[in-house]
Amino acid sequence: MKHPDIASLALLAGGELPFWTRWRAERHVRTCPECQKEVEAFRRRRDWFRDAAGELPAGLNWSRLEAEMRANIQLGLEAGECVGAARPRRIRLSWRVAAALASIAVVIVGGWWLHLPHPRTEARGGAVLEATAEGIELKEPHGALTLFHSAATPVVVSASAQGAMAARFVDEETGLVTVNNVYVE
Amino acid sequence: MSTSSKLAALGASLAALALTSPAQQTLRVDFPPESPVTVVAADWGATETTPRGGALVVDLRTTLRLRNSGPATIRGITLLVLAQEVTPGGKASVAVPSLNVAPGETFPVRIDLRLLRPLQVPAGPLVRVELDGVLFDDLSFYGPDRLNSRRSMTAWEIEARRDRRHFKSVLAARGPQGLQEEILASLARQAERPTLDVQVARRGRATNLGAGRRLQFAFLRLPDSPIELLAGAARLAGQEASDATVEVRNRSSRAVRYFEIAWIVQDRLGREFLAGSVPAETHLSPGATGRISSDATLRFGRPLAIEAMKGFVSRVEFEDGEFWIPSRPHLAEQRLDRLLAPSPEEQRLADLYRRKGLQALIEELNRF
Repeated sequence: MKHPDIASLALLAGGELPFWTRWRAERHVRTCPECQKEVEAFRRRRDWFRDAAGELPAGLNWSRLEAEMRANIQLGLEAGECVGAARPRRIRLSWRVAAALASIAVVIVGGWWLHLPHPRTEARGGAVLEATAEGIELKEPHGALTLFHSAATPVVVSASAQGAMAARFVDEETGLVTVNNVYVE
Repeated sequence: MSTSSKLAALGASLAALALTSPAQQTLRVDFPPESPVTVVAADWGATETTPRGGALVVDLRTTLRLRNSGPATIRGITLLVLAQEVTPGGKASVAVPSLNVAPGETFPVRIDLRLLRPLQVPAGPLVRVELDGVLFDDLSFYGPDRLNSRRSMTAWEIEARRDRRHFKSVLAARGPQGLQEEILASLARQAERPTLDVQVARRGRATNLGAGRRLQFAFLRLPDSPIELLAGAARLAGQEASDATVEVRNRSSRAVRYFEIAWIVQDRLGREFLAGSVPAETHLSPGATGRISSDATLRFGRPLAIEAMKGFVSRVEFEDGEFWIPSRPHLAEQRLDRLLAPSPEEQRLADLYRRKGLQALIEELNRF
């Protein structure tokens, strides 16, 4: 079995693969426990980074940062004026060549734009329930709660349209059927 | 006070000491004093706290050992898990159905959870574990029932009786080899059951642009179902399904107070998945019609071109507290057994066979 390369798995975890590549990779990952683990690990790391990045350094002074950036830009422009005496000769294009180049640019930019993963608009930052390989997770803006089902297999996951998710499994340690339920209000 | 009562009181005192030690101040276990289930011990395993960015990750791994201090055999228990300071918009529970715990016996309940919380939270326990309910073998119930656990556990117990009856009849009719074939078929169904990654959000958190489209349900009719599904539809937008509404009629001679509809989606390739369930609290007199709607949005974890949706009634509770569940032959006739999850009891019996073999399974069936 040929596994997708590690970069593709990382892009798959982030939802950033183009359609056909994603379709092929998802089909493989569904049947390959090894790659499933890799993708899960990437997703966890992504969540970790997102959480960590959400925290800004204490005492960040935005006004001062803006002033520094403006000063640096101004400095760059003035330096450019000093060395910008010799101007290159302008190359004139015929209108046919210009039109062809413009068409090619439209095709390239359009193709690139269509392949981009388009972000969805989040109407509200409410609580969300999600089943992961490890458990059922309730995510809220300021915290999260996960009920784990550890290494148990198979796990029966079910969702309720009234706002609940459940994971049912035979606990490897106790040998008892256990149902973890998480509710969002 | 009898010797057993003294031992129980001593156990409860020891447990109380263990539960209030400084290392476990993050979790508090509260059972009512008159509870028929008492905490005998708590193993705290690898409970740990790790900083992560501007937050703190708290991993709580505990196994509570509980004792049946009541007079009847316990069939199921549900514990309510609350972390209101961290996730005020949600709560959780850990339920253990398919139990067979005689008076005086003990049993474990494992709770493994993780909290991601801000560094600054008010003092006091982060997590509270409370008893939500206990179901006994005569279907009597004890507990505050804040999560409607009486309903869930009673339905699981009725399914358990149906499934044990089924496996016992297979054993009687076709012998051990027949039972083995049946349990292997169950394991195969569990392994091959198509699954779908789903997220659940409350109404209002629709994340896709555009209004989407409304798709009608096609309903499957189980012959003896007390509820008839008349018409229904749900809104589909991108990878999300929401606003499911269904018109129903009570065709039984008894009033109905609750029912659930299993929601199946079919993609362009004809593959079917159980997307979720639509539960409904209601009051439907015999012959009455009504309309139910769902509160949450289901978001599918992968692109799914949904072409069709099906639904069927999977559980009904009458006003008198009795339940209707589909029979195994009716589920098999409509090929729904390959989509529906097995009952907790079927899952337990199949796992018992996988771990300990056919003889252990036969002995277990003969205990009931």
